[in-house]
Amino acid sequence: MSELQIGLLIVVATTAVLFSGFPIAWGLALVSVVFLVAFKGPSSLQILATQFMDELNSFALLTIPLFVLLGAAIGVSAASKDIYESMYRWLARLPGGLVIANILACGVFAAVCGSSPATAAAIGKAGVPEMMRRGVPPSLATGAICAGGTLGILIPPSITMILYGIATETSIGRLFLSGVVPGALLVLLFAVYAWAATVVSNRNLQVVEERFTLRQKSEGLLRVVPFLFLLVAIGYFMYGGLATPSEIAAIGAFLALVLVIVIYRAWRAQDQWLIFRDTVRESSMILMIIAAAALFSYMMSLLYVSQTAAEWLVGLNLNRWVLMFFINVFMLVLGCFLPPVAIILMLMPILTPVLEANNFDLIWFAVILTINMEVGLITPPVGLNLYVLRGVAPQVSLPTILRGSMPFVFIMLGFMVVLSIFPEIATWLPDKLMGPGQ
Amino acid sequence: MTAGKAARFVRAVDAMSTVCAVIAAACLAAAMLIVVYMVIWRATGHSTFWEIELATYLIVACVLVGSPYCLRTKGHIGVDLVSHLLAPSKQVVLERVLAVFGLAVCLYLAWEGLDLTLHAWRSGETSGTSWDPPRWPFFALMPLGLGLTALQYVAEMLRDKPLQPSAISGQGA
Repeated sequence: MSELQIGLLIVVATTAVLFSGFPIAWGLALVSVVFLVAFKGPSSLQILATQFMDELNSFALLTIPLFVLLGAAIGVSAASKDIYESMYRWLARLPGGLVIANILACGVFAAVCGSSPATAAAIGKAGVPEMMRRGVPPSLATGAICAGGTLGILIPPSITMILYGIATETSIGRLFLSGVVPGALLVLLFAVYAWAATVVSNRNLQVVEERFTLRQKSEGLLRVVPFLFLLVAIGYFMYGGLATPSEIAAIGAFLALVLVIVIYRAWRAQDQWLIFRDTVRESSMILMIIAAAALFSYMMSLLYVSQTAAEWLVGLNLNRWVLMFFINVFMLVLGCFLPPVAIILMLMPILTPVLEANNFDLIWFAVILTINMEVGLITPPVGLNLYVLRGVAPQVSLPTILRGSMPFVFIMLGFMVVLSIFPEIATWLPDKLMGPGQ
Repeated sequence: MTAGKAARFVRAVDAMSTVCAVIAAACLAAAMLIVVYMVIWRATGHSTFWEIELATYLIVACVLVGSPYCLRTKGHIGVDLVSHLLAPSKQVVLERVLAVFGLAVCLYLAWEGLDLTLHAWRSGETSGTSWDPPRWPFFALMPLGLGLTALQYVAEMLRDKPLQPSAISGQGA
């Protein structure tokens, strides 16, 4: 059998195993073991355990549990409600002010949290019921949180970017910086859409117009100050080059725990247990996939499949933008079924040499890939953010949520085109702060 | 095994998973504190040598020892498309079949991990860093974590009513 035929067989087998509902981590391990035994004999399994443990034995991986901990600490507290409430006090007069406040709150929360479903859950659990209570159409309310939540992986810190950095050996600090401007622009575009949608549908007429005194407005701001402090602290350490991402994650998680203990009085063992329990669960799931994906890429590379697939893609001599288009379509399809962690770890070993051969900037591509993954998070059948929204607003049907999030999907797809025309949107900030890239 | 015994076994394994989660949480907290300490210690002009290695060890311990709890609370994500299309009775069958495969994968990985651990223990292999601890306690996390996960799979198969998926806290990156 040629390498490409083996590759196709691997695709078929992996698809079958993963679609059965088998946990992704065990599925990748199973496929790897079976193919190694079938094509290389049992002796190739000798260093399997070493591969598994060596992948986990990395200081860079500490970023993942610690950033999850940071997000969980803030997510469990009432902080998320405070963040959007304070913004609403300033935006109340604007049409769609409450929706915009929720989108901005997602953006702020994303800046201390590295995960999209966590962002959607944190802001959505208070935000969606509140928006619907004040007359925002259910589709717009849920769509805004669905899409706003995806900013969690674009605005640093980002677990997706960390994984990408590990898979492609690019600087995680540089990757984080590359998401800042695109993230801010997407927040702005989402907010403009929310404003326009409200004006067009004239729904704001039904909303009781609230007015807040300057005193109430500043009071709201005061509550956000500690989080802005946390944000600035993370930024200062990261971009001042004072600490590595793992160290910043530890400091950030520590400060976040102190904040929620001091301000939100979450000092009881029960409160801490909730935060840590969720973090252990999430981290275990993500890192098991990472370790199993290491077995998968070991198998692919030992059977020479990754190399052959990459050579084949380069050898097609496609126009580089045609290639980029197909890569994105392929990732969008995968994104409908698989979480970003699995896609990045399975795909990047093949794509990295192809992207380099076609002169694509790996930092720029990280932003493209992240937005692509964001779309996957809000499209059925396996959109993690959709599940979150169904959890926080069970009375809203899935088609309604989808109708609400579709405009945001088109904004994101359009934004990817803009990013392709003006790659500087992603690369300007990291180049400016860290010097020109590789 | 009688129904009563099976139920007692399931309860015991569930309790073990919770204890594991508490230990995993303690490892996570310890790793965080060590790194924070390391940054401060270094910033005050001291040199560090064991902190990074120990913190990494604790995080790996956290995710492996936390693995049975992750399984019990349905934290390991999969593409559960097919099961939604099946009748409820067939869903249970599929779940059982997948549990058998899950058990097999975890047992096999635990076995390979045990082999690696024993090898490192016999040869007295060390990490070769300036701290230079023996490597076997690190490798031992693999048979420990995955072995316990296999045990949790046995409990899942014996459980009368499959647990409903818990509330979504899912981050999934």
